Amino acid sequence: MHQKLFSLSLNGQGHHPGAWRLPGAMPERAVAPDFTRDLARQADAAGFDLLIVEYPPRPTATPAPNRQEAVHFEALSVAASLAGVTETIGLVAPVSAVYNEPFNIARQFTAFDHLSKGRSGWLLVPGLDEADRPNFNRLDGTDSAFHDARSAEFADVVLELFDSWEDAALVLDKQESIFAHPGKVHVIDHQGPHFSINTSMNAPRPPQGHPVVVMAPRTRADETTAVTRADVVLLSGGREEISARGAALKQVAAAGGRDHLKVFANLATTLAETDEQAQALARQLDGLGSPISGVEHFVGTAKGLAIYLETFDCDGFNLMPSVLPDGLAPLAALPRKPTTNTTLRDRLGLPRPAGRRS
Amino acid sequence: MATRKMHILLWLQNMGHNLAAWRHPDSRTQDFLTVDYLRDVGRLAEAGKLDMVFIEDVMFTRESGGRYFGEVSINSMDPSIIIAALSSVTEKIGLAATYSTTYHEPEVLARKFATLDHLSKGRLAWNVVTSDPRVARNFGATLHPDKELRYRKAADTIAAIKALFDSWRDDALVFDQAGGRFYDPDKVRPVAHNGEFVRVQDALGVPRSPQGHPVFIQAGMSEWGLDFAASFAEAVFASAKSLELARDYRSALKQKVADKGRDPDGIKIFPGFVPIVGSTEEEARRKEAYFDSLVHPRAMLNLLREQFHLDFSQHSLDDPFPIETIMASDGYTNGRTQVPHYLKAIRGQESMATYCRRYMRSLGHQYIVGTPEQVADFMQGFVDGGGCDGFVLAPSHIPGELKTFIEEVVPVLQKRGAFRQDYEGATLRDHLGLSRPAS
Repeated sequence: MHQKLFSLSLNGQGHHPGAWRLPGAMPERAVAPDFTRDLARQADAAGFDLLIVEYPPRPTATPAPNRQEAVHFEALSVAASLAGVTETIGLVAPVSAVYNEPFNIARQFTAFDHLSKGRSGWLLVPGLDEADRPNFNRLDGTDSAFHDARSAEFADVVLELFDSWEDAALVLDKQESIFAHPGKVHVIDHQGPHFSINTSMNAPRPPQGHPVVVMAPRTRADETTAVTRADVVLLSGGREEISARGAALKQVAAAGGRDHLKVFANLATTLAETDEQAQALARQLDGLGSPISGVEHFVGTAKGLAIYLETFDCDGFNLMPSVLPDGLAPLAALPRKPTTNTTLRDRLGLPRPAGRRS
Repeated sequence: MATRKMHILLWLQNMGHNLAAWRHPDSRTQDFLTVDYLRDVGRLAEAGKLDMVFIEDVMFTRESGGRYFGEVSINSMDPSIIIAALSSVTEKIGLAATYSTTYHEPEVLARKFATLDHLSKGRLAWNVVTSDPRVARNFGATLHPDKELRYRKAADTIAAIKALFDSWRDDALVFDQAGGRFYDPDKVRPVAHNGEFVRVQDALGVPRSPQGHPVFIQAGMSEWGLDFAASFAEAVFASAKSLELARDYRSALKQKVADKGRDPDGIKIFPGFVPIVGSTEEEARRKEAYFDSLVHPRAMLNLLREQFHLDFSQHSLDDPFPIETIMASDGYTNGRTQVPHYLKAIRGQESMATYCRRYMRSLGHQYIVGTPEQVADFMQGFVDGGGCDGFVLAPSHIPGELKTFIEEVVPVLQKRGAFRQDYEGATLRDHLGLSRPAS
């Protein structure tokens, strides 16, 4: 088996809705920045390839009173705050293509990729969520089909804007006083159904060319967007389903000249010293909050998990510990530790997108 | 006159305020875009006990007539991302991001700033801007809203954002493990904001942040800007040509604040300030000459082109300042080009180079060259004379001149009781002596 890639999904006190109620949990850490920083440092030291800051980008109505999603930070700010406290791990933030302007998102990720020295990733979240209507005038008179099309074009514009500066545009020649080569900074002229942009980015091209684009496609429209733009897809479901769907997506992507698409399986984990203890913990959690749903959930020992993972046909795993921070330590033996500092693209074996040439 | 304690804010512009600061041999061109650089500068400012780091926002590439300025530092990274990165590598210092109300959704802004105030544990400020017309092309806006409309939209946006911040009571998070209540829904109120431009009807997804609201900053000097500032700003960045003008401005603004029913002490005024510090006056002058010399003649000509909307590439910098040409230009006739009064007064009796150097040194902000004591005298004179509450420090070169200021000038101010020995509170509101808005 070739070495798998590992992503850690950070979601408050854990992915299980009952986690914050466990005895010994400290739910007040939900708003403590040090809690997230410590987890990021641990994941970095354990050798996880990337970390996904799972604050959903959808600013939905306040959830049920027993849900930790009441704390619903803006994920990109959280991810950027981790750049200075981690060394090698990739940092991925979900950002919606619906509530933003492409220029603003391209600019934020440009900064994030520079600050993190090429460790940024964009979990592109396309499409409309009806629950968001109350807070956005711009959703008036629009439907899902409109937002699916707009989201795809949104992603294209963001990616085009990353290429506004050629890689060689930043000169920094102190002697001749040339900060950047004016001929290598280009205006992006995009005229489409949803966006018309005629501008250049006002910062150099990101170290990775483009941040790694991650998607968790839910609909057919999402899949269409993913095969032509994403570098990594996160899939939920059973082994067979992930294997079949992953192979199909890779095939379509490869047919379009993109044979580097990586498929990650989403997997929730509840681990303990013995299977019995893990089962007991899972039962306890289910008594404190609704059971984990929508994603495969492994309950058992770390050793059992390693064996279970061998049976998957995928490039990597996005592990979602049911309880944090306790659920992280048992996972620490799984990833391969990096030997050198590289960009997230290098680490995942992804090509660096060619930029413009003069 | 009694010594007043002043506030000092760092204006962090890449490698310094000088147009060619990046050419300085000690400029960290190798890593100035990374968090390593930000960490070092942020911690240096924190060691000097400064009130905050301020990040401006330029959302367009410096160009004129479609030609990019190759010789000036033309990058300007997103301020919110810089502030987010700084939040985890500094402990005490306030962090100010400039952000526009014109091209962001109010909900997106509220969520971002509430998050950043949490991440920084209550150290966030937001410098509210409505954006330069050159920004419109980033957004496919066929028509950039005019100033009046932009300010009306900004006021509506800020009202909606404040309502979103206040949709959570401070004590809404209860973390009741036994009862299974993470938060108390009775303490979260849906917003009902139906403004001229903005409709927001739900609560924010982020509980109330440590400061309640970030500290609101405004930097406009126009009539609209002044009115806008009086309505909501808690800190104002002003340019001040003299102590008299600064005093007039300050009392006019405080009067306007009082007219709006606000406490006049709830607004602090900070002019921009560029010090060149040497151990002797002579050394400071040598430094000034050195910073002047960093700027390439090509950069000066481009700067003139940008300011006066004319191509000066056929001119020599030693030519007399072409005031007649400028005042005969279309740009001047149609009001797009502004010409400083003193330039009209001296009618080309100085060279283009002399004008450029003077303009570049401070870009219209307070400028002083001298010993640490002279710089401290100047600062105290302005503060004690009622001209301002402190300064936005714009070092010509970062980290060099920032370090000099912190090591040489700050101790003088501290010794005189004009600046804090250490941070006394945890939040930026504490540093600035601003009250926390009730929920």
